[in-house]
Amino acid sequence: MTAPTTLDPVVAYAAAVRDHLADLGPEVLDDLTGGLEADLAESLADALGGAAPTDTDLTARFGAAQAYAAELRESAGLPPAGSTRRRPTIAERLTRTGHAWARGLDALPGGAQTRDFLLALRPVWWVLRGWALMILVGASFDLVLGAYAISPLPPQTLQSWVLTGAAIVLSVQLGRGAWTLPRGWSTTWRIASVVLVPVAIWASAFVLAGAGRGPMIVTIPASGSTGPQLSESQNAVLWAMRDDTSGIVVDGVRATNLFVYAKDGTLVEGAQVFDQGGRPVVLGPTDTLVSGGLWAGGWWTDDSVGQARFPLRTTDGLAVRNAFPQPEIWWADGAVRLDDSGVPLLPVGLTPSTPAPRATPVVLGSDDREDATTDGAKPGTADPGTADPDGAGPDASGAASDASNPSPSATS
Amino acid sequence: MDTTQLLRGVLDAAVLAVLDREDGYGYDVVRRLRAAGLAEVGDASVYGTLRRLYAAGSLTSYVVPSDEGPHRKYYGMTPQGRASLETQRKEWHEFSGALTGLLDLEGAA
Repeated sequence: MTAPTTLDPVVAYAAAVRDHLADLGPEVLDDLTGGLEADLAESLADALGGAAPTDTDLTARFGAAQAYAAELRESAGLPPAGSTRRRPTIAERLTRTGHAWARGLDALPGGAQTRDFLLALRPVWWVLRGWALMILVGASFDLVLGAYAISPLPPQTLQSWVLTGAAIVLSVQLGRGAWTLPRGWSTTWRIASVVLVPVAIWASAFVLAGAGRGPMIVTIPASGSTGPQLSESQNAVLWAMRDDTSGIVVDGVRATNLFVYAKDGTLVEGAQVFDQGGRPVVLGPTDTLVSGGLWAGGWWTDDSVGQARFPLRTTDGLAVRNAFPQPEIWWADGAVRLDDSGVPLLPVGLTPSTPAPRATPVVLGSDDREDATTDGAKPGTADPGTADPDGAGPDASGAASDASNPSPSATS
Repeated sequence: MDTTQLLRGVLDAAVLAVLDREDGYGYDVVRRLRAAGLAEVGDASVYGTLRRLYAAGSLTSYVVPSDEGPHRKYYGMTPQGRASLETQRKEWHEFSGALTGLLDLEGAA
């Protein structure tokens, strides 16, 4: 004959039987009632000829759950209920509390329907649980290896998809009883699975917060340490940020600073860069700050620890995000401080060192007037941390006066 | 006569005898006992007995995967279980012989 499927009255009956045997401990309970649902279902199928069983069928055939439990207990040579004074384990107490809640819910008007509804949602719980397991495993990998090997929020790589899928399969198979864990692991798993989902919800909330507005301040560790340990959620935010399409990419690599040279090959300090539409050219989005290697509020830092770049500012202290080069500093340690608009402030007392590439002098078309080029640039003299950008920056429109292109007007 | 009371004393022997022929899972044992004529046997009594015999070392157990249903825990005999069955078989023959003689004697009297 075909194996009968377990049906809800059967599951409920078996749960009630286990409830009455809870004092025996998980191992004995598993010995005694492992596969009870299947046995009950098959026995009923023989009696009812395959018709769907009801609660009444169960009690008619097997008696009250309490009596059934007592018969199991007695025939197994175990002491009757209440005769042992063993302290119940945490798992048993959790189980009992859960059953007490279930009974309380059943007693309410519409409670049984609510419970049925919640039971129908169990597969969702199983999937969530498997996914949460992967988040936890991924975070452990992150901590142990210092590498972000698995990214289940959502899965970003093939291996993350495969592992997350495997975890979900494991969780679902355990949930529907198709697979069983070795003895001793089942209790651990039951407790862990209760803990796992809140972890997942917490992590997703973090990701959602990261995708939203509002700067997040992260401390950059002291130089000399191996590197900042980004948490799972911070990594997830970074993943989200990588999807951002603003900023400048050169040969597939994000630009973290720009250097503008006058035609004689000298570096222009504080050069303001615009695109063809007059939009300021900036290096990235500004709504999130995750520092410590990769990203600092619109200012890219090196992968090496603690190197950061800061925007130049107007005399009023407003950040001019398209003025370059941005001064670079190495942190000793400390948090990134932000101004009112969420832009990092150059720490006082630190001297920027901004290594610039070399450039070759050029001529503008056929016209070679050497004296008309570097009117505003004062290479090598400005200290952008304290300098007034008015003095340090070139007159952007003046610098472009020889070109035929229309130029946007720059902030001074 | 209350056969459930009678069964109580001999269920171990009955379960061992069933499993001595072929390994089986919980309800399978119940079904074979009923098919053999022990209609009154209670499901829970059999499962409890299986657990007790297993804990005592008379039975071994293993899980058999199933394609279409839940996995089943099968029970099989151990050498100790076979020895125990042999002892109980002997005891039963002595006991039943004595009781049959007694009852038939009374019935004849």
